[in-house]
Amino acid sequence: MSDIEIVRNKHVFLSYSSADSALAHRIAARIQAARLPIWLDEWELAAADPIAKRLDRGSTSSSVLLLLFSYAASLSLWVRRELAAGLRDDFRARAISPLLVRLDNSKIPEALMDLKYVDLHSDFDAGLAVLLQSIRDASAIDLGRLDPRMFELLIADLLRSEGYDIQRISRGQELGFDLVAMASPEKRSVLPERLLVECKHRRSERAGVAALHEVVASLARVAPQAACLLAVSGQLTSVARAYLSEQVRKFGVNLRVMEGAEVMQSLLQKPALVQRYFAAGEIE
Amino acid sequence: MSRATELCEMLEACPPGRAGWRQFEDRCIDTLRYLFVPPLAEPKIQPRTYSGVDRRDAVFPNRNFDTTNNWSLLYKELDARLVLFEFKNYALEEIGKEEINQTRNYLTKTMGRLAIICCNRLPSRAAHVKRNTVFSEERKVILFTTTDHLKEMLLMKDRCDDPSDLVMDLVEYFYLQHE
Repeated sequence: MSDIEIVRNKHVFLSYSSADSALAHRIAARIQAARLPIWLDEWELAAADPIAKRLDRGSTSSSVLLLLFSYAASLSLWVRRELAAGLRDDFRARAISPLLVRLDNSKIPEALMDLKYVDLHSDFDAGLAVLLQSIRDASAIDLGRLDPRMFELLIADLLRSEGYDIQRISRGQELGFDLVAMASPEKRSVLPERLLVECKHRRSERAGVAALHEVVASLARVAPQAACLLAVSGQLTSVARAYLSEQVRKFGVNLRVMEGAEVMQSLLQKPALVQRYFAAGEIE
Repeated sequence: MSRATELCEMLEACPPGRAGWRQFEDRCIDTLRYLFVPPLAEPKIQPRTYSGVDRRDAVFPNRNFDTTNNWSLLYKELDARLVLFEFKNYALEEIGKEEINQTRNYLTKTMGRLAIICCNRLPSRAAHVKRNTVFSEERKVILFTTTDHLKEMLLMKDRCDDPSDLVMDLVEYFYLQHE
């Protein structure tokens, strides 16, 4: 399979500060040379410039956005916590995958620390090879392609990689959840010791308000004090999110939702899982 | 610029109140048409006098009899053979129970029991209470869809999700909070 096929319908956008223009062009040239469809646009993020709107060139769905991060970028408003949060919402709404590209040793702001980043600072060529593979990985990940069972296995593997032991719950065990994740002893200071996990893949059941209601009711019934993770392949609507916030506020349920965009960011940190589930090995 | 982004910008540009009501209606109808036709059929735009001022409603025929999509569910559950959309672009005043009563009366047996009010901001608490009463008494569902909801649905369509999922969530949330 060629690179062009892998990134079909996906575009790679590159955002940079004007101070980094020369380096941005160098990176873009290398990406183009790797036959990835880069969209290089000379612009900088600004506070009143919703990035996803700025990116709009026809449809941006599933695009990959490279954010060049440097000292110059760190002075921009977009890295501030509240604006970064707004940007993340914008990315999520438009299914855009951001990748941070570190050009110098400037400290990455807390609001962006969970993004996958690639370091070009210490070794440009080695970093660029990683960046190209990350772009390919981001382009290859398509949670909609998995069936519900594979999605559940993927979530189990992601949790394993974070330090959980996983027990699958058979349907006869009535709990109403798919997995029980137990934190390994050395991780118990930073992770919930026991996590009930429910996976909802769009193909079997959309994570709408009614489905969330069932999860909350199951949690209240079988383990009201337990921590619960709801992993969904797509995105919740704002209405579903509002419903969930209300439940958490009213009843104190300990429920966290991992939406598709977050699953994707976690996957980008684990290239081996991308290979296993999305056949990234075929790229070369 | 994609059509979704263009429509988002046009919705944002509508001034609230009387100055922008016509523009708001037109943009909402364009948006709904883009979002839902198909699977809904082309709307009938109907003039209607409200508080001495002409307003228009859009009625979208729902012919999803034998499918398994959200509109088919709504057809079966609420007899939503026709889906009524009303538009409220208020500046200072709020949508209150009077407006809910108007909508309720418009939902005749032939219309079905689903109406969606597209509004530039959320209605008053009195309107929320009134629609609960309407549901208790006649099983009619009146949803409130804000400009933000419309914009969200445009982005959902842009990323190839089904925008009517948000409508279903509004219906389900309404059922769950109904007292």
